Amino acid sequence: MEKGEIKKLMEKYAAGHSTLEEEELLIKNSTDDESLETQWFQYVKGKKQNPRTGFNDEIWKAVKKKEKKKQIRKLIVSGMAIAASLLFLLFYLRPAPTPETKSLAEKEALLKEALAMFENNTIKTTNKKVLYEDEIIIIYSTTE
Amino acid sequence: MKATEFKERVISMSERLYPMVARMLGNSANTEDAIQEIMIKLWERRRQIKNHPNLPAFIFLTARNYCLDLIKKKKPREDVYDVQTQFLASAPEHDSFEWRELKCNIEKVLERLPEQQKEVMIMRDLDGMDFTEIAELTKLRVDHIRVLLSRARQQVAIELQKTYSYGKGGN
Repeated sequence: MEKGEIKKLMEKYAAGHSTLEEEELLIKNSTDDESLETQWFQYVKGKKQNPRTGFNDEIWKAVKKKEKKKQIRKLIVSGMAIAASLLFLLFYLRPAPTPETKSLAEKEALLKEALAMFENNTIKTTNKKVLYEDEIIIIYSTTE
Repeated sequence: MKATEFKERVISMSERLYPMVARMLGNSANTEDAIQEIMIKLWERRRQIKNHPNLPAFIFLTARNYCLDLIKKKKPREDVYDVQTQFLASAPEHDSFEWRELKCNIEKVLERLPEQQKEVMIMRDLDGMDFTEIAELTKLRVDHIRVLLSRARQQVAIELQKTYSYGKGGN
């Protein structure tokens, strides 16, 4: 960079009218150790920390990774919520247990089985003499 | 704001934020983590920020506030916390005698500047901010910022002249 050009830029810089690019150029070309402005530019150069190349891409990847994690977490939470809701609905909307019904033949068989239990205790009706009988009660006498 | 637009308009600012965040936090690992967190915050608010009239300035403001919050959380102090002192305290990696002398002289000069001038000069020269971005952060007009910056630069030159003239025996 030519000295005249630098001088012009320095004037703009001092007046606060230089652009960021021009200032960058001045800092890069600040090699004249005698100049006072150079001291300032050396300070800026030393103090300013710059990111490594591809920093923007790294940040973008990190943002996307975090977003993906967040989406997965969201998916898991919503899945669990749906499952819980389904369980709740199934519990409350399940059909009431229907009473067990048997066919006539089955009922008859059961009755016979029950009656067979009392076979020994039943009174033999051979010598039975009915004294009174109505719909509810039978009164009889036997010789036994 | 869609992902591609966000990448173009917001993520592209990460490199520009770096000098300011690094200066404020003073550690490159912290800086990268902080910028990542700032970008995640902005991503979560991408719908609100889409139509912001000065998005780069808003991003700088968000980053600065985030760093100030971090500094407050990590360094609770009983005395009044001077952010500008923290700004200047963040040490670079150089350790030569010449560098330490230069740094010491310039920081003394900066300390003597009026607060607004110092702030504007740091934002412009060290953080590489645009005038509109500085205006958004400081709530000052751009022409006022130019005046403050010009005065600060001239004042720094004068002060350095004094320091180095004294060092050279008053020539």
